[in-house]
Amino acid sequence: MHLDPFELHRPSSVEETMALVRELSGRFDYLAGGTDLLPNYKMHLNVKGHLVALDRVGELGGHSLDRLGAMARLADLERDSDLRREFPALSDALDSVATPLVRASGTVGGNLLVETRCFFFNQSYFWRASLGFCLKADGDRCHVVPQKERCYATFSGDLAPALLVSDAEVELAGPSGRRRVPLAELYDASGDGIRRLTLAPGELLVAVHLPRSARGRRGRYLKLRVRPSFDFPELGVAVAARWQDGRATELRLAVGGAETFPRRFDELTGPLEGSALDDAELRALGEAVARAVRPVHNTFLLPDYRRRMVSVYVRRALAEARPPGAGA
Amino acid sequence: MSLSPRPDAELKVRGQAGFGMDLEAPGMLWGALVLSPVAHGRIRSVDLSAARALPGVTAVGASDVGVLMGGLRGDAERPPFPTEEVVHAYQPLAAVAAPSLARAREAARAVRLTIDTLTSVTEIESVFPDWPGAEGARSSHVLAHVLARRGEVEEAFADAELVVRETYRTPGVHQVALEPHACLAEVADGRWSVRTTTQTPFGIREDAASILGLAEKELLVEGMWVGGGFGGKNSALIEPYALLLAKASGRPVRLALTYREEFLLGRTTLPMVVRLDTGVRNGRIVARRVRLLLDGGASLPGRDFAAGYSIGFLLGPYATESFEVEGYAVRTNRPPFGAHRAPLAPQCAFALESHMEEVARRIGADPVEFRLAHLWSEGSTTSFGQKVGPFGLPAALRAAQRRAAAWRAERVPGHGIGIGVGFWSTSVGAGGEARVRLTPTELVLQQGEREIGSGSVLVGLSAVVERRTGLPRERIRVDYQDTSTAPFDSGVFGSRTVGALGTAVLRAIEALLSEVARRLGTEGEVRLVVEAGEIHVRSETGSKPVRELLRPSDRSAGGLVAEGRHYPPSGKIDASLVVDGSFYAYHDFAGAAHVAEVSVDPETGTVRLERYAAFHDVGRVVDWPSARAQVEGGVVMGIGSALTEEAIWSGDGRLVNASLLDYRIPTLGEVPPIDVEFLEGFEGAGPFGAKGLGEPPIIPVPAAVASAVREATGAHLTELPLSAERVARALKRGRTSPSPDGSRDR
Ligand SMILES: Cc1cc2nc3c(=O)[nH]c(=O)nc-3n(C[C@H](O)[C@H](O)[C@H](O)COP(=O)(O)OP(=O)(O)OC[C@H]3O[C@@H](n4cnc5c(N)ncnc54)[C@H](O)[C@@H]3O)c2cc1C
Ligand code: SF4
Repeated sequence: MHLDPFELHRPSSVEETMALVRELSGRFDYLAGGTDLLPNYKMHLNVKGHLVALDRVGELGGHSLDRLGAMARLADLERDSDLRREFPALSDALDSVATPLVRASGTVGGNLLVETRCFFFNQSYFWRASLGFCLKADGDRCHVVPQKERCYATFSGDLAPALLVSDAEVELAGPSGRRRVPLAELYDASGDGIRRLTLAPGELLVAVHLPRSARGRRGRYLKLRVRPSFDFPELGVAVAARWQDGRATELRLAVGGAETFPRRFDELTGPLEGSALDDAELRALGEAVARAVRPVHNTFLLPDYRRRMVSVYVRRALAEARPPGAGA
Repeated sequence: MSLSPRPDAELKVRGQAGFGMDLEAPGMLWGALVLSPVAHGRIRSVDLSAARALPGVTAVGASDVGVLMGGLRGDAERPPFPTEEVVHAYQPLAAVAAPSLARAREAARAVRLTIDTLTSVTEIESVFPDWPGAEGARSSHVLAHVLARRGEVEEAFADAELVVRETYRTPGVHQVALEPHACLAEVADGRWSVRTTTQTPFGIREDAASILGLAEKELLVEGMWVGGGFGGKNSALIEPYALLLAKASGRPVRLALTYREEFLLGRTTLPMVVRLDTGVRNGRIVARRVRLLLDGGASLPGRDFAAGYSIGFLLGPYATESFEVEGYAVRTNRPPFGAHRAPLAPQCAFALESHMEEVARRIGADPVEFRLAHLWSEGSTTSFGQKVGPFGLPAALRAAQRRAAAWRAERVPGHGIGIGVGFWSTSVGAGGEARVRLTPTELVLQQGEREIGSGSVLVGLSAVVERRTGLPRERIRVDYQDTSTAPFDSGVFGSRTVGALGTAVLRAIEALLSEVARRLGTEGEVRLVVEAGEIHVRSETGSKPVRELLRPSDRSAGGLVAEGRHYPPSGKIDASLVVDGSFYAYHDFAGAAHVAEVSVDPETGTVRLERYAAFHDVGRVVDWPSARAQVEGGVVMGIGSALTEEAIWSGDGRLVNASLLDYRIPTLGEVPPIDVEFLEGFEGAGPFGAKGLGEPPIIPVPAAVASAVREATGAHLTELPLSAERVARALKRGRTSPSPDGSRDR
């Protein structure tokens, strides 16, 4: 497979980028590490004529305990022991993305904005053309849920759930200025699955902000996949909590890899604030989360199995994140 | 034992070994294939006009073949392009070439296809939900039928104290050679030539010439470095199209598959359903019935490919007093069946070995002792009446049994240890010839076959020469030639390179040494040695430089040339047992017993290989590092077949997981430490008693893993792969034996 020709732009500041955005009005994609975008381009998935590379926009680089630049490479974060210690769920998630080679190029921004996946979508042009294109690219129907006019492709980024349980916020820059919103609001839960982000046209992810209050929580990210490396998540469960006297507070739980967007389950974890998270509670919570998620049959593992694994993974993630001796 | 790096290692690491992707020629065009979007359909039209309107594009379709070839002289049963009916998914319908790859792909997309879709058949069990029955052999869906019988089977079953009936299912698996198919064709001055990445240059010559209607001597095939074959590069796949495009354009044409196309179009093994009935009495098997339904894809009817061969592996290396075996290869709208490292043998061994274990358990016998009680040994007779030659499998199984016992003594909860047995016969009858040339400074092996990665050509054949002549390997060089000058050989497949071609090489060396001895005037044994930088011939009487032994008449050949041939005889089976179709005699008797230790996550069903041991009868090890690498590679490949690999086809004949991301071969994370042991001394037919080793290492793996999973969990799984989902489902059901009706589990 090969790439069609495109024009490459390399702005060196956010302002320059916004000037390009106005000029190219919608006929472009941002290029970060390219590990997600370029394979999709090779399959002629929603190809644009222009790419705006972000590697020279200095403001987007670098990372600290407070802030992860959108262009920070996953491999760099992976090597930061302070970050790993303060945000253990993120640490797990970083290790689980793709392979070391992909992580050397892949970025934080690209990972949060990674294209959703479906086995009717991640196929060559020929394959898709021979079946009939689907809603998500070039077509007008869904092969997974034909009755509905929406897309159920699966959000398959590993970092999002871990950052959700770290109460992360994202800083965005658009033609009409900057804003900062909770990470959860980056994903459009009311969209049709094609529109699945709340980004305004041309809006750029500048950085992820990690609140001090989230540092040092005990946490875990567990990922379901067929092989222990390489594979995208078929389910990803992130948990975090602070523990005092055998009680959990600031309990957070987020699930990715199961639906069109990653989500937090505050309505289910809220009632458990201050509890000891004993085995029975974990089991009940796992089952409640499993009832709430709705995977469809568009990835390798069957939805029924993925759903059953939700309860197992929720329970295990929390059990593993408990301090020694807790949960009794 | 030498542990020096492989002679091709540096070339490959430096990127200096040219592979298919590196093929280039001045003025070359890039080719692309137009594949059928449907698995089955009536062709209304293949309109090439829009493609041809693009600048620099050459396009060929069915109607051009006769014109280009000066008449339709090729094999009528397999024209390059179909004219009326598309019979399998991704069948090529046209080919295009253009000055750039992008333009070629654009041209391929511009070809307008009008095809009326017909109902396609993609599941063998939808054709014959039960069993073909009396009329079966005459069904238009049957490509091949085999039937053989020994003894009074019905009576033996009636006499049995217990009859165990089971059904096993296995999916299609892909070879996943690192390198996709690629070739470069040229047609100039009436000479057709193609450089291609193949396991068999002569096979490609025969195949492509027959498809196009050329005489074999009109076509020249040159092999090149091959990035793995595993059976996928055994026959012409893209070469005829590249040749047609080169003819039509008058330019060299390079045609290469993308990896996705490799999955879609490549020939590989397909699913099968196996029914096994075993009757036992007094702890012994008294009757067996084997029934095989094999997906043959769109293979040609009557051309026998696998049913008869596979079915032998379903009887396995176990003595059976009376049996009936029957198999059908069923036509479906998938691409034609192709080879995959020991085609179907791992799947057959999975079924047979799991079944043997089940039978043993039901009668309260130890599964290994039960096998040993029925296992052939040297001098015993096979199910088809062949005398068994030197055979190390019983010793390998004993060794595996000891290893399993040692591991079991350390076993922790959640782990299981299993044993799998795999039988194989190497050098499947294909022959070859060899030519060697001795110069004052080197010994050259002239060779059409290329090194395909296993080391069998570059290391294996050199090791044979080294061992026989005494010459160090750095003085032995392989000189690759094309089919116009190389000695004929069948190809690098069937575990035959060292065994069969190696024998031809050995004979050439014998001829060379006796000529040298004659010139030296000695009757005794001679060796080749290096002294003062020159090759000398040494005998009891002293030594002499080769330089002084060469005659003026040797000069034109560049040295002293000698040839050897080997067309192995095949054994004989008792033909009176065969009712229909062909069954095969074995050439020699090789095999392995493997031990797997797994841990199984009881909730997720995830199976993890913890450690692995492989005990192999190879007759004689010719090159230890290569032999070991073969076993390790085979085990890794077998782990894929056991746990994660499965070609997934949709109901309308589409391959869903046609990518390296979705078709899951093992990564290093899944590969356990692998301990390899060879049992030597059970002499095979190859040089110094060697038996082949390319295929045997993959055979016992799924069986060993399944047996270990069973020990760890109690789940008796009858379908591959043993995916986490499938294991979890079995555990959830608490199922410890297959559903009595043999119904499907997915
Ligand atoms: C073999 C393979 C395996 C993989 N496995 C995994 C896996 O296990 N888990 C996982 O999470 N991912 C996986 N990926 C996907 C991908 O590699 C990672 O998600 C990676 O982090 C993406 O980052 P990137 O910088 O390469 O993104 P890119 O490909 O550059 O971009 C991805 C998308 O985000 C947009 N984008 C990027 N940065 C910005 C920004 N700052 N502002 C606005 N838009 C932006 C791009 O326009 C594009 O649409 C895998 C990829 C491959 C090839
Ligand atoms: S879920 Fe439906 S619309 Fe979305 S990518 Fe898959 S087939 Fe297309």
